[in-house]
Amino acid sequence: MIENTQLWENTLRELENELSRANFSTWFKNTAIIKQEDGTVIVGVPNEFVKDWLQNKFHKMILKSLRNLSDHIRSIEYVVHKIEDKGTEKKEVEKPRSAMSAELPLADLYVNREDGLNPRYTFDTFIIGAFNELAYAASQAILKKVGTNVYNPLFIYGNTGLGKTHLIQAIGNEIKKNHPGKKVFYITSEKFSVDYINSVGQGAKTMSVFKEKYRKYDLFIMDDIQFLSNKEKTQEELFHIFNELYHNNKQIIFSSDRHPNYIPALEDRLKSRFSSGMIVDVQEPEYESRLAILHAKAQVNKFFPPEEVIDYLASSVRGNIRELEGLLNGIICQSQLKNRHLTLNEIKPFIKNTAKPKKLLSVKEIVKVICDFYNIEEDHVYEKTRRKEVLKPRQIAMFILREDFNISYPTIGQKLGGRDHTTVMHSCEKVKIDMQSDLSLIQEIDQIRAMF
Amino acid sequence: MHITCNRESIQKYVAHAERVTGKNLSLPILNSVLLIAAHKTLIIRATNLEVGVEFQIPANITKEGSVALSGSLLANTLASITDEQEVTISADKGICTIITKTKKLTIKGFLHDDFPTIPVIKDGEGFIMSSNKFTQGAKSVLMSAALSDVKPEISSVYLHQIADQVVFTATDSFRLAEKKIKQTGTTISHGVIIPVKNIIEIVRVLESTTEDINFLVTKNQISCTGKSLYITSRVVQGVYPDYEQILPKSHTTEVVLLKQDLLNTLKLSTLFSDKFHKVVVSVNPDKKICIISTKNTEVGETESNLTATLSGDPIEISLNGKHIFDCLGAIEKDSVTMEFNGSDKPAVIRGLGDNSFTYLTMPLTR
Repeated sequence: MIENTQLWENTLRELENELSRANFSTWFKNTAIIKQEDGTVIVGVPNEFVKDWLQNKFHKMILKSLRNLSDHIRSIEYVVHKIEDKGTEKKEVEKPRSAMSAELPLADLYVNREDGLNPRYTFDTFIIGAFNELAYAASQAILKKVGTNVYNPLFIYGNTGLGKTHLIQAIGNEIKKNHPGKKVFYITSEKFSVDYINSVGQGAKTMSVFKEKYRKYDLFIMDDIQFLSNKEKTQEELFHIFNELYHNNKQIIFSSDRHPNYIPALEDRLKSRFSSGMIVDVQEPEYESRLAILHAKAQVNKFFPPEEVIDYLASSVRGNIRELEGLLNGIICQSQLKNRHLTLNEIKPFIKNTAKPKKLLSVKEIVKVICDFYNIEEDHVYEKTRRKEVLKPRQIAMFILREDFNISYPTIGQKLGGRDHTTVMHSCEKVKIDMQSDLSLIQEIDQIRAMF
Repeated sequence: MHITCNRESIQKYVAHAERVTGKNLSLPILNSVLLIAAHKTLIIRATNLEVGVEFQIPANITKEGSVALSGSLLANTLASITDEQEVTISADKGICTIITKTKKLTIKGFLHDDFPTIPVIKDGEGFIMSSNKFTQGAKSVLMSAALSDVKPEISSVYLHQIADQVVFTATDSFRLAEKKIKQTGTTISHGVIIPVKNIIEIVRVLESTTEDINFLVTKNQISCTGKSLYITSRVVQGVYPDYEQILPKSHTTEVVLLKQDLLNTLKLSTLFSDKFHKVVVSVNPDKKICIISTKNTEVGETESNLTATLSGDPIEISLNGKHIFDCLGAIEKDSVTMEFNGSDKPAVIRGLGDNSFTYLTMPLTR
């Protein structure tokens, strides 16, 4: 089969000879072959007027030319299809007013109402680093084989502001682009439960509409699934939808801020289903990735702060990409106001201002979280026992209190059952050393940290 | 072709049709209006491949046939025949003759084999609405659509459905207007984006009638069908921003004042405002002060004290006076409310107690 574009170009060349210049340029501008299947050629046209006219006037002529080039073609269908006009690429014109008046914040709201996807989120703007490599690789595998791959369902988890939504929406947008026929749908769990509650209130008919609605998709993406905790009936409905989609080899993608096993009040049958495919986490970006992200953002905003500023930001602001972006935006704004680049000293207080205040948790609360995680009685931690199942959580608690909450060694010892500060120091050292060799320990600590 | 018909109606519809003929297009036939005589009606058709119109007027037909004539020439010719009740039009071999009691004109016609057909929407979703309700809805928001073609979706009017209301929305990203028109029996599951140039033509045609119009929308096209008229337009394939999310749900300052007062003040202010139409609104509910002031270093200054009911926090905000002025025409009530959420957040303007029209305008930054 000849390549679509090649075939259409040859057809057009033939038609050009038979038609007047005016006719040809009016009716065949921005047309293209979208696809061929079983001898039917589907021709994309810019609007209904052209569709009507090609069908009524030129159909025979087009068919004849096409058959001359490729004799297995039997019929043509015309569909209205948006084709980017490459010849007259529109440059964003300079807006003199934007300096005077801020724009309404509509840019973030270009959400396709049919599939819920925001076209802004693509892989072109997605920065890949060590922190999200695995999630990215999984998403690429999905793109190659939608539905029928081992990564179904794909479950992506990680803290807020690390690009989960960007990644899963980019998958949706990419699939939409590559497979126009596939039905893609993105929804947040919150919207889903609102939709469910609304349809419950309105009787059997809307309920069945609801059930039908979610089962027709080829790619179903649900964001922020942790908000489904405690919503039993919504979970049940999701369970049924999941089964239906899964059995029909439809791709399913979920995201959450924590591992499914740690989402409170989530039904076991959902947990086990989430775990049946691939679970990947997105970590906090490391220094190099942060640098890359800042460079990319500077590029987008067409604003290039001095290298030392970017470097300082990347090294001093940890974690959340969204915060990183916010800081950069703040610096851009300040620089535009002052009409010069900010110096390092001017930026330092800025970062201090926006730094997130450390959450205040009492030692007792922290210990409780850790005990719950390891499923032991809280009291045992404070007792003088060296049973193995108690010892490890106790040591980890000491480690976390010291590392994450900056509590002094003597205080930790005193709070955890009146121990000597050297004991605490030893415990912290031990955990640190163990972490270098014990992978599961690292994971456990990561998961515990995610809960604060 | 040989027909006789009422002069006024052919004059009116040819004038409408002429407006949508294509200008400067590569296909010259689009400059013309096509007249078709068949089954006791005269059909007048024109299109520029963005919008297509078709009108039917009753006519006394002695010989069926069709002819394509230059739109502007025909419209101007008919406009200058003022003294007659009826006109007789006949065409033979591309030469058209118009005969009245006192005049006889011949116009050279075009070959119309190439005259495009107008797409007819058969199945689509839609609603039936009286033409004046539709034009009211569209005209309330038209002025807020962007004029440049850079972003086709915002140089358009967005039409969608909320409950049993048809909602018209337009924004140029600095201001936004939304008008809701109640219409039972509406089903539009996906909104359509109609280019503002096209909806202006639709409005102009629908304004000439008061009948109920059947509106049908599909993914690619919208059509309006009346007893004797049919208009269809392309729609923009794209995504309209989910603007509902930026409509403020609360406010910190509220000002209620007479529309006429505001109008008069703004008229005065525009004489003195700068090229950005900047007006400064200062409100202090405790001191019961509401002042609109303007300043232009080259002309002078104004300061107007307005009588208004005020509540909430004091505020001083710079707004585009022209934007406020534009929306007042769409407000039917005598009193308007202005709601503020701080000097860097959009201001909301509505008719008092009327939620069908909402207008958002961004403050000026300097």
